[in-house]
Amino acid sequence: MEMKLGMMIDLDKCIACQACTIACKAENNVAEGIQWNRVMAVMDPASKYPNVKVELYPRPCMHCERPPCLPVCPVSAIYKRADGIVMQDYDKCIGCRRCMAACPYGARGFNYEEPFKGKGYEGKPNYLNPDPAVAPRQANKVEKCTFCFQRVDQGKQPACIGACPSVARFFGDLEDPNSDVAKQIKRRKAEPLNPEKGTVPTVFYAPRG
Amino acid sequence: MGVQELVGKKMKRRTFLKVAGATGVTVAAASTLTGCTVEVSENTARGGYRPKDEKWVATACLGCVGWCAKKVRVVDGRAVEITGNPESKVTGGSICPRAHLGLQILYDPDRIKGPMKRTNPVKGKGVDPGWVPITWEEAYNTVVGKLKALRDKGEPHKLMLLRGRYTKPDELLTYSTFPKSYGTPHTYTHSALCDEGTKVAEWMGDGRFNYSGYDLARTNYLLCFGLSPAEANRPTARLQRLWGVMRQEKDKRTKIVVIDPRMSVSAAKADEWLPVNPGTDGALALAMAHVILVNGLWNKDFVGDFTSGGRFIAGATVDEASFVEKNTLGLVKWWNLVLKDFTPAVAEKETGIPADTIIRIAKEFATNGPAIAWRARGSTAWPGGAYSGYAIFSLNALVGSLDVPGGVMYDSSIKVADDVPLVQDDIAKAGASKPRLDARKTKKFPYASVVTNYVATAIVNDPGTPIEVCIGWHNNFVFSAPNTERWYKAMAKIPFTVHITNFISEFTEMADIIMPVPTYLEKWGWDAPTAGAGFGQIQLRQPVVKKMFDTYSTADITFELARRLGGSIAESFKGMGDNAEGYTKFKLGSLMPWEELKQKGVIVGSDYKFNTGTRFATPSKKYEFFSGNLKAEYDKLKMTDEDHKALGFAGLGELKYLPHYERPRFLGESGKYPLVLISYKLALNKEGRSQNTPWYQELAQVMYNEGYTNFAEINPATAAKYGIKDGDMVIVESDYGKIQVKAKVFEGIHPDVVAMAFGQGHRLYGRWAKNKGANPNDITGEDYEPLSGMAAYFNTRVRVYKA
Repeated sequence: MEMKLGMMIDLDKCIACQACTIACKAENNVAEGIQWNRVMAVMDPASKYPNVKVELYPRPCMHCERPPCLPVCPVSAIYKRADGIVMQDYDKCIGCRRCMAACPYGARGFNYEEPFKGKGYEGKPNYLNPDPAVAPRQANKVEKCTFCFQRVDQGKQPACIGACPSVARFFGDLEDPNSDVAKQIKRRKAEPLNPEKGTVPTVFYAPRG
Repeated sequence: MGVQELVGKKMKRRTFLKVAGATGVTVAAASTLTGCTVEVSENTARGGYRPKDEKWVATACLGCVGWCAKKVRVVDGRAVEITGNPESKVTGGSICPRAHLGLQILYDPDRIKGPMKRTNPVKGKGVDPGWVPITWEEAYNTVVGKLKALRDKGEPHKLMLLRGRYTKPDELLTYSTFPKSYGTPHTYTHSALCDEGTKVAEWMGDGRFNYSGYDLARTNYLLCFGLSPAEANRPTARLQRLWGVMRQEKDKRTKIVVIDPRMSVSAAKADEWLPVNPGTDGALALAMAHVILVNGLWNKDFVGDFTSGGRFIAGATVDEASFVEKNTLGLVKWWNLVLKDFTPAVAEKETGIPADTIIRIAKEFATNGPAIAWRARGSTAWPGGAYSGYAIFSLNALVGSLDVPGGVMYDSSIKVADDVPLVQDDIAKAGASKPRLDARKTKKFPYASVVTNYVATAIVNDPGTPIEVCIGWHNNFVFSAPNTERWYKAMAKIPFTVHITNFISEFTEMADIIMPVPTYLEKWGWDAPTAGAGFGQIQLRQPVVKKMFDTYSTADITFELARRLGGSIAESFKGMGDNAEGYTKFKLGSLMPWEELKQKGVIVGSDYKFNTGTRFATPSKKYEFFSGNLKAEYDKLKMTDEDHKALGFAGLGELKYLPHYERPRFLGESGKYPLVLISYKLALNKEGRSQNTPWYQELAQVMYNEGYTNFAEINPATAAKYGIKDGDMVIVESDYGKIQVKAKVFEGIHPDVVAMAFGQGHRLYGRWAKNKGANPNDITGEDYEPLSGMAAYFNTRVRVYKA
């Protein structure tokens, strides 16, 4: 059976600390202003002091089985790997941002300017990950979470998994019922965000409680 | 730690999916999908990068007093990734989010690259010091010249040392051996800007003057009074790791309740948020104790019981002879003098928390053990905060949660090699015995170990020049202490100040000489984490990359100053390795072979042994609801009720020694200033040392999906009352000044408060830190929790209006 990579984020364990966000930025050389793995605070609109409900969702790319970003790209810069990772070919990307409009999760970011230039930076920072697979992008390119394909290809987990201090994230092969992630999804009855959008995400969220 | 199956647990499907769709996440046209098929592309990018020169170096963080062990990946001599160290039992291999910021601190372009001196003799806030680079030789000559001159006139006690963040070598050498051998009593840490009220609270009950450690992995019920353990308590990585364990990695899911006037991230992620009226946490704890006793829910094995079936009945006095206590002392006295009338209805009036909620929480707490009542600065950095903390901590004793699995723990440590004996000449002896400026352990601050914020007041009020030379390191008291203006005045009055620092901060602006240090990723040392784990652990700090600039660590500077001062001072530092690296080897060398230690980075002590009832350092050797420790100190100081009243306390007589309620006092007229300013700390605050990192700025305020500023956070009803809309620039004004900042209107804020994150509002510190948001300490008044000397941070009244 083909491998299908996926993730589960346990909202009961997650503490919205943004370790995933920062570890991702460090691993993937993500420019200031873009977060591939953003923690989003969402208040229940019925909230009224003192009964207030806020949920905080870490939001990577959902690596949808039917990615809405893919068919709208006029230059075929978006493709899906055999293992399910939705990729972005930066050489082809013309920065039209149709994919951003098509993504119901707001998972994509746009480099309005050249990364790490101006804004106080004196050249590319020394701490950048030297892996050429994550070389900083150029201006006018769209980018997003890749499940850290460069790590996955070396048999490692994405950076956000190991960085999560409360061990709220699980990653692996959804088709393998013995994988951590598959077992956790089953145990925690995890579901994707906004399933009604029909994109069939491979990122699942376990509810509170 | 393995994840355990939750057997038979009914999963309640929440509406979270819908909520996200409705308000948070961009919703785009999904129709584009109809009928589309996705083809797998052959054009597949592959990762196969293998750097030639790559290593992982074990070292320690400096983002909080966890000093967590971590590993840094170094490629071609550059640090590019930080992860946890699996050898660390304290963290279980985790690191917290702020650990990653170390990369941006190490390579921060605003770091000071070599020693400098001031050329502008005029000192003041906003006055350009006119820094010019100098050599280390000139820096040492100047500083040693000043230090020698003081000793030559027999006035070594005019030297003052101010300690901010530290690591073990500077704690032992710079803060202890150096001032003692030199001859000054004036050593002041930042501890009383941190959380001293919390320490004195436990000390009153069980004699341990420290933060408490908790066995969170086994607790079933957690009450957090004025703290946000998911964000800002320490050791951060450990607490964040254990949050995950509490929720889904143990048989019974831990219920978490957060008591805070502001909805913190912890409160948002907790099971219940109780937005208490500011400063009334003690009333809530006392009413809980009342409920526990009235309902017979105290732990009889630990506390004891009535001899012949008595009961605690609200309003009714109990005969002390009718109750026999086992491991505690003073329960009936506490009941008779405080608790019997402290009903949930009384507490509702004080706290704003409904009486039925108080009753329910108290019963849950007492019947879902092991349970923990956790206190921190949110509930204790108040004028009556020591008593609030004492009441909160005593809840643990009532339900038998002291020194049992799932309860409070008592830390142990690993013994390192002793220093060489201290040598003091007559000048040093005379100087070191002079009185301190901060009035610690006097009638003013009866059980303070340091009163940081009072140091500035003492210097300003002194008609003379009590301090002629000041050396501060990794501190920024003109920014981090309440009522900052006084600190500028005090520092302007000190003729000569040295700042040992990475960055030009607001404190540096008041200095004469800058001695720059390497960052914590470039230096030697070791640390032991703060309370929390029970067992001892040591974490080695070693340079992960070559030192980048012309810098020396605080310990290196201290060794050099001692050498140059000579005599008994130099004698006190001889034979201990001569520099930070040598000293680290000297102290740890016998514990583990050096090369092995450099590889592992961690030494783990033996497992914690729970040992109920044997660790209490009180006169009775029991847990005391009537504090014999405080009484002994008061007797020693000859503290009278009048003296106690002069500290602002209302509870006199025996109440002084009992956990009781002191109504919060506020600075400023409620008519003029209807709101209360409270401040808090964010997960990405490296305790005030991360504001010049782009990652901090971009992501700081996660609850609001915003960065690059902090906010004046107010409730929508409050905002409407004062005509303020979300995002408006507003003025927050108190009797002590005014600041301008962006408003955030949020349902999760108590209507009587303005909440502000601490950390922003720098004028200096670097290109990314400066001119962002505002510093709440600029408009906070000077007040104290008098028993511990802790600065009161949350009792300043303010008004808010559109700028």
